[in-house]
Amino acid sequence: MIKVCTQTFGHKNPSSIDTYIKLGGYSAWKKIITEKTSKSEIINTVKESQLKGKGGAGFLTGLKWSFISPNDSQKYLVCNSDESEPGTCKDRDILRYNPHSVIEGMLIACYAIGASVGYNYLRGEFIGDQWNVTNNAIKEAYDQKLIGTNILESNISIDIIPLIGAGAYIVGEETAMLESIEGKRGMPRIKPPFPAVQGLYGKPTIINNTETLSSIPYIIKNGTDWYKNLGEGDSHGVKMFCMSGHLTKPNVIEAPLGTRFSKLLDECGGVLDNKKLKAVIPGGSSVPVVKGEVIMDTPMDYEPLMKIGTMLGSGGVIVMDESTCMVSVLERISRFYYAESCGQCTPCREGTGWLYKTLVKIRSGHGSQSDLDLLNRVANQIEGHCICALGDAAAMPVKSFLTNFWNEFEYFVEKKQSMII
Amino acid sequence: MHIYINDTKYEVSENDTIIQVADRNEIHIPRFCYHKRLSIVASCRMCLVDVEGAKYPQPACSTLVRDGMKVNTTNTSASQAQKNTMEFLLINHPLDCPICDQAGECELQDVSLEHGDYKSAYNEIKRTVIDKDIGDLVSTEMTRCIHCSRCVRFGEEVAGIKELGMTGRGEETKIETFINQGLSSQLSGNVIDLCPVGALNNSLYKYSARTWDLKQTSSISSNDCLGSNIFYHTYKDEIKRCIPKEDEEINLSWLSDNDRFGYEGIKSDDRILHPLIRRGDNLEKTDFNTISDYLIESLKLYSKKSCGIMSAQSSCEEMYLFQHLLRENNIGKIDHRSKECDFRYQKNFPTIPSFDIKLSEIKNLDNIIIIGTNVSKEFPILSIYFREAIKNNDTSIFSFATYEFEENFPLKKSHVLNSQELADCFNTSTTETNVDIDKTGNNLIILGPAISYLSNYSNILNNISRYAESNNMKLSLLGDQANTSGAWAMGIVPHRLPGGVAINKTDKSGNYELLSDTDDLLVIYNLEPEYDFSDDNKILEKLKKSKANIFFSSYMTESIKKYAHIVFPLSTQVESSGSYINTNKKLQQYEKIINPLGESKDGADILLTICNSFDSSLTHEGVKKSIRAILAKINVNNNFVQIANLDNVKNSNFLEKIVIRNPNSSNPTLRRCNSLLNTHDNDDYFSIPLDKTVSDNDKIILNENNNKLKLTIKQKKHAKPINTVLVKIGGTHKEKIGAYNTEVDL
Ligand SMILES: Cc1cc2nc3c(=O)[nH]c(=O)nc-3n(C[C@H](O)[C@H](O)[C@H](O)COP(=O)(O)O)c2cc1C
Ligand code: SF4
Ligand code: SF4
Ligand code: FES
Repeated sequence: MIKVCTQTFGHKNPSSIDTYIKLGGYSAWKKIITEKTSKSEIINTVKESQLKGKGGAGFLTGLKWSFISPNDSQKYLVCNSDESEPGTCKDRDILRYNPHSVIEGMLIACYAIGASVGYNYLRGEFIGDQWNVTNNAIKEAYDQKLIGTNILESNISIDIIPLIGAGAYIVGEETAMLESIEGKRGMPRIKPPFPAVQGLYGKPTIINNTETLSSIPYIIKNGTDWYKNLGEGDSHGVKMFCMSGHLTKPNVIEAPLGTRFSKLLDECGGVLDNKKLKAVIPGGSSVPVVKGEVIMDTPMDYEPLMKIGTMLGSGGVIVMDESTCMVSVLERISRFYYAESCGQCTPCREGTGWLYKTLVKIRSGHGSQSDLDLLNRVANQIEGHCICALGDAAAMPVKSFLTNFWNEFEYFVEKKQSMII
Repeated sequence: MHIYINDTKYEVSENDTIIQVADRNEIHIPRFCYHKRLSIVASCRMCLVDVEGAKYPQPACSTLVRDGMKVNTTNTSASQAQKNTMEFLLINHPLDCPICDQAGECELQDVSLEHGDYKSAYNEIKRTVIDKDIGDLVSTEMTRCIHCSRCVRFGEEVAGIKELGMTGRGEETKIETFINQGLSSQLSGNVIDLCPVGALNNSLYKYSARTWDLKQTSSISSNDCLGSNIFYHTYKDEIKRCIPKEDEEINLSWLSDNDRFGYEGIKSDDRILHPLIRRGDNLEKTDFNTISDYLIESLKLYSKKSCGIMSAQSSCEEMYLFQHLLRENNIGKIDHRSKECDFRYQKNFPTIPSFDIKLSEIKNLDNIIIIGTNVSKEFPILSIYFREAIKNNDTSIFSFATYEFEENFPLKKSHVLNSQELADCFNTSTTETNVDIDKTGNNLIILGPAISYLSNYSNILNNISRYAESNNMKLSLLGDQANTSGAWAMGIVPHRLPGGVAINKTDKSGNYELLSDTDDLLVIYNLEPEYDFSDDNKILEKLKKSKANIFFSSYMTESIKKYAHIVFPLSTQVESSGSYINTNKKLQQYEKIINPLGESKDGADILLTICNSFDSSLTHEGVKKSIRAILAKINVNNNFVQIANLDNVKNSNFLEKIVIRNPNSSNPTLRRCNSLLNTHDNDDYFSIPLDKTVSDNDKIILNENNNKLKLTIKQKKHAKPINTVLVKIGGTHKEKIGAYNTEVDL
């Protein structure tokens, strides 16, 4: 078992600064501020490590950092801990058990991009647990002068400020998050301008996912080769996979990128009750579903999953066995995007409702063949026609469910009942 | 740099968006959320066009041009995308066009016709939205809303007040007020024009006509000195509504609520519909000849012991004829400054007061000092320019006033001062003035009309002028009424003929008392004694004592009923034609929109007929020509009013009273626009210094000039200005309020 973001998991008092420091924590940060490592060196290290954003899009983190405007205006870093994509539950564990890695990652990122403030924006539902842990951890780090003004007498000042949302999925979209931090209604902005040019309060801003930032200290400490070599086969680095659904032992597993799906399945004790694997959504509810037999031997990485018509996304792997009614699953997924659309773009606002209502109709036995074509058409009309990717996220499941399980939907509209009894 | 749209090459500049290039070249691209004066959100997705190389159609409103870019607005990809958006927009739209006021001019209808489909595949239940009451001016039918957010952005960006906003998510997204409260912005009516559909409607127009039956006529605002350009829409000789006429020099695409809703009053029951003459206690119907003869005889009879006071809302034509009629009869006491009481400045006043700079130049100013005006309430259109200046140039704005108020733009600093402090803080002869700004900048001082009501107006004018000149600043004088600049230019002052030609006869000091009780004949033109004079006690006393009172008025009031000997029924501005000179010295012509009610008549017609009885050569054409000739000769370089040897009239140890007039009822017609007043004119109060007390919470007794005044209104207290009682009154107060600015005892 490799351990990067999960390094402290299983230790006693995993979230305490002592545990973290005992395991080598904050050594990367201390080294940077004492040696005054150049910003470009850090950005290059991250670039060469091939670290890809873990929030869903898989964009190269070092490359993103290099886009930050070089001018000397105020800059910001935002850590995206809004983790709300159904099936995704990794950031919550990092925040709960290894919060200092996120803080150290944020400090290094702030330093590298020249930001004096980093915000960590937690989803509203984290109020009970992760919110307290995060606040405690930040306090511990302040107490040890690892954050704040004149950090360890280095003349470097960086503040880390935790924020908490109010329960809207859309705030996970980076520009909606910026609006929310500014105190406005959480609605995505149009891009360009990209946040690296005009972000929070109009200033250059980098937004990274919790897991992405949590990986940073380990990469700086152990070097790019170490991180790259963690991958399996052609892949580089690691990823946390949130294994949920019909599994004997659902779990969050940090595994090398490129690990075959079958191996992850084994680690979870196989399909629950030894049933047959029917389908998998490998990257959170918004990515296309694939049939079980298609994914079984696929290496879990961005390109291989793309080849079989789906995506790695956030790493939320939803496993479904043969007893699953795909019509019901799609209806449930559609309801989510219908309820969570921010409502500004016409296709997303109106289309997600249309999709959901049509699926409700089908599932209650009032659908017809033409409704299936309608679903496909409406999904196509949404996809690629909106401001943010939520529109696509609503469309992709519909299209993939229909493509992969057409006969099941057809059966439902003909017989007015599910094929699965 | 160039791009291709539909295979034709167009010159573009770097920051152009596709839609800007298309609009410049009259290539049609459908749109809803885009508006040239609002920020870009690109959310409606109606403007999708095909861009070569892009996988999906791109929004034309937000996509910046690239050199050599190839855009297609009509090919299959673009038109299918537009059709798809249209389909989405209509699935939840009620399609109740037959009962919708917007029908016929609805952007959704228009775009649907051209880019939509004739049938819908949507079979589910449609969304309905429960309406909130947002006031008497704008009525809502939110089920029709297409969420373009123009109204929301207008509030945030132009009006500067967030009243309408988006709540809810997804399909349940609603446009509504955040708190249960009507719109309060003086620009609120603009959301009606901005709304592409029938969601936000004009309450006065609601269900009263169909858009395609309306006749459009252009006109000029009669409510403030900016002179906004207007279109009136009429049906069967009735005004149905009023909308802005685009004018890049004045009102841009906007209108103030006063201008938009300010015609409702013309139908008031107070309208005077016939010539009237006094018989005993009553005014009785008569004919024009009878009262015209009465007027001519009175002018001859009382001659030098007469006084003519005219509203500066009158047209230049009326003004020219009015002063001509009186001066031909040797009457020199002519004035329009019914709300003023300190005239010592008058000899030094510019021939034609003005704003001095173009409104479009405001955005380049570094500092603006505003004195005595609550811009967002009194000159809402001007506040738009200020907001632009702050955005564009980070302009610093300072406010000096006699009471506290809110603005819709950030003030760098605001000072609340009494009249003496106001004069003092700009006094350049004392060691330090209180006002510290960077003198090298491009700076402007603006003086609001309320300052002219103060009894030390001359001192303030003098000090500010000297301050402005020594600091290299320009000075703007905002007029009290729509044609205040015209009144000065047309000689509606005792000491100057039209064109500013001085009359030597007026006494040296330049001072005189307008409301003295020495006149035997009073001619009052379009002014209401109760509401339009610097001291209602004095004018009523004057009316009581004089031998003949002649009124020209559109509306009946208690005092006219009681004191008038004859009354000429004036038509209102929308029933007349004429011209105004706005604050930028621009002469603007307006035409009759509807026929006058009853026997009421255009004032210029009445006056010309009377003038013709002794000067038959005078014609309307001739008058217009004279006005142009007069204006062509006037040459004013600045607005500075510097007066030598001016006494200080105030002693700051006395308690003074300052009356604050409500801008929504500044003329007789506005005073009778109930919807407007219900929305905007509803905060009457008196306010006393913190250290003073009065026995009753909603009553105050003021002793001034040997009068005892009792006012029954809400009480407030204030820290500033010191030694001052403030009385804020709306349009049609019942009780006498006394002098606008005087010493009082509580
Ligand atoms: C609708 C929507 C929801 C999203 N939610 C999240 C989220 O909860 N957490 C997250 O890290 N990224 C989320 N993203 C992706 C972010 O926009 C952004 O790409 C990411 O935070 C970048 O970080 P990374 O480069 O480290 O992956 C979401 C994107 C969309 C379109
Ligand atoms: S796609 Fe949906 S969620 Fe994203 S901005 Fe548009 S309406 Fe909002
Ligand atoms: S009310 Fe009108 S202007 Fe406002 S969002 Fe709806 S459609 Fe647009
Ligand atoms: S006009 Fe371009 S998206 Fe609305």
